[in-house]
Amino acid sequence: MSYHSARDHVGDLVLDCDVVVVGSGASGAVVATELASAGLKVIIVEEGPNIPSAKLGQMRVSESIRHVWRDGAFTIAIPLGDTPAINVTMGRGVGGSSMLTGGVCFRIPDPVLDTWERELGLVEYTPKKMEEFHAHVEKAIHVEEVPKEMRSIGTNLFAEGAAKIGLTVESMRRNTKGCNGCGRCNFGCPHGAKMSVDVSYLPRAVEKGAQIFSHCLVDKIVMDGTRAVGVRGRLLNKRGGAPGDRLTVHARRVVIAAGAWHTPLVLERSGLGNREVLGKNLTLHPAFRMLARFDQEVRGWEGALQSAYSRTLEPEGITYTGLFVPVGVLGATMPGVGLELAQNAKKIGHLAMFGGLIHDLGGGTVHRGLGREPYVTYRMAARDRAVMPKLIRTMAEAFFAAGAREVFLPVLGMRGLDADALKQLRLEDLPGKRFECASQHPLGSAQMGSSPRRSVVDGDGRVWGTQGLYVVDGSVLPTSLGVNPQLSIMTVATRLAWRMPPISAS
Amino acid sequence: MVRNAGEIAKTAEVGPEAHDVDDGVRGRDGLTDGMRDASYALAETLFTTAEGPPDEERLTWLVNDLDHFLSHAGPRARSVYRLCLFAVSSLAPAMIFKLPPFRRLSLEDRAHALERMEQSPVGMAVFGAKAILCILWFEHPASAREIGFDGKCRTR
Repeated sequence: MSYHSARDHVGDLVLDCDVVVVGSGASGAVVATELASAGLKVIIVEEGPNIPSAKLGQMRVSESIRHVWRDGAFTIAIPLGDTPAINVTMGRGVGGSSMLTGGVCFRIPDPVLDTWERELGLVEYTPKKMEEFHAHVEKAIHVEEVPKEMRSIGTNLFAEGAAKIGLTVESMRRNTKGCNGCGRCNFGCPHGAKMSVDVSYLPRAVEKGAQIFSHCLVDKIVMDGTRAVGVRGRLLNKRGGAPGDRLTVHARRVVIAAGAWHTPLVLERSGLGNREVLGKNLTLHPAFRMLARFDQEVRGWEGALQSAYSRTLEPEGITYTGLFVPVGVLGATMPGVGLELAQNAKKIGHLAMFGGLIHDLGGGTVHRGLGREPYVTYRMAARDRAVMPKLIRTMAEAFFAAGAREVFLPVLGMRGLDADALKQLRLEDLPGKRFECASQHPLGSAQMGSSPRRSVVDGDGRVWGTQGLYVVDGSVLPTSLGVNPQLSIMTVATRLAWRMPPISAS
Repeated sequence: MVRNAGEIAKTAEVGPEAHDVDDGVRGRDGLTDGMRDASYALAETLFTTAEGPPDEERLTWLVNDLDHFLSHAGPRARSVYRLCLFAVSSLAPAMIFKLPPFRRLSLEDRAHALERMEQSPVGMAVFGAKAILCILWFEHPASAREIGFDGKCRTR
């Protein structure tokens, strides 16, 4: 048996392997699969539960949130200065955040790779050298372009309006196979069409002998001098899922893939990593949604959840991506109480939605909290704060150009606005904390670089000053990307796995 | 309707049940009795329509499902929800110059207070509590029907 739940285990658990991978998300699954395929004995430890995709796809949206979204989606990056509070959503389960994506797959943009090469000295990360890794992952997770007929009416309306105001909208690529356009990819696909790593990679890892242990919490990396020799933690096998018996994994190589939120803490608790940099440089891609009401019925839930994007304003740090959210979430974002809320909720079938994110310059820091969970602060850079009103206003203008009657801005408590009211509104004057903001892309808190003074890991993911200890998740990406990072994280993880020096299989 | 701590029945099953997941939290309550009552009052205020407040059974199902949600979602989710609920319970009445707690206000006053608070600089607290209540409320098949949501897919 290769899937194990620590909930079923009584007493301390001691394991031996060649490689222990901490975290089973987009990066951990990739590295585990690549190393298991190379003949190594791999153990993956995951804090969250193992919920098979077929079961997740049958759950209500809120059930998915309560079981596999970290903190039930209540995670907040604490705003500093004139910054919105940012609701950051992450996965917690076998498959990690890849279970929560809309399946969007962008390659690492060439200008981003150019920056890494020129300014950070990461000379192995050129577009040409990354080509084979991109192609390898795209094949493994079945990346395909979303056909136009799978777009929702809402997305088509945005595209129509966007064209009128000079934005180019293109079809997205996603990791899907047989998508029926049910508009709920983030909460589990009812037809198993999303090729998240729990479907695409982990079964291959298991086939090659990898073992996955869910409900395991890693506290520390065990070192022998400068060499990593395993991890220590707890099994979540006490009442209420609390930490119980001890977990010890002896390994010849340790791979940390706990995500940009937790990787810095695992390193810090172990006394590892450059303290000047570790936990800093966190980028989030702060994102905003726009709702628009049309006379016609839109039924935004019918169609691929995310199917189109626009990068026309990327020079200003703005990317627009199509999306839809469950009707309950829409209800929550509608202003009003009682009768007003009920009236607004009845408009849901007439609402179109689109989103935009900022290619941010950073400003986040992961701090060690009182318990084992971190607290995170985020101060939006002046350039990013300045671009926020334009990002929002342009989406509204696109919808009005397509014939929307009113728009609901991502401003707390703000009622619907018609086109004239939008013109009168000075968004620039609103304080940052009035804005509703979300993030699904925490990156960069254990960044890679060519200098041990300015980074946590080298270009091959090895923690500076150690042997046998690698970080492979989104925390190593040294800058934000300006696009959804799932494919980028998997591509970098593939490169790091292939570059790891051989160890003889035990 | 003004309710006292622990008065709300915990057994109403007039909505969809939750799938079973073995994470060890069965039998553990996500809400204290006081939070149940405050959540009930908040939900009753949010989801009152022209026809009046929702059925007691529906609201009880909602509070029970919220309890289940917070049990499984973890301690941080419970803390954040508790903070939002506390802010609403204690600050919303002040928005209309009344004394807390929120749940002891008339339905009309509660609605007025919540509207004021939603527009205020502490509107984030309303948003936090409202968000999770709305997500659960609109999952109920009857609520979904009322707003025209049928969950159909776009098959090729």
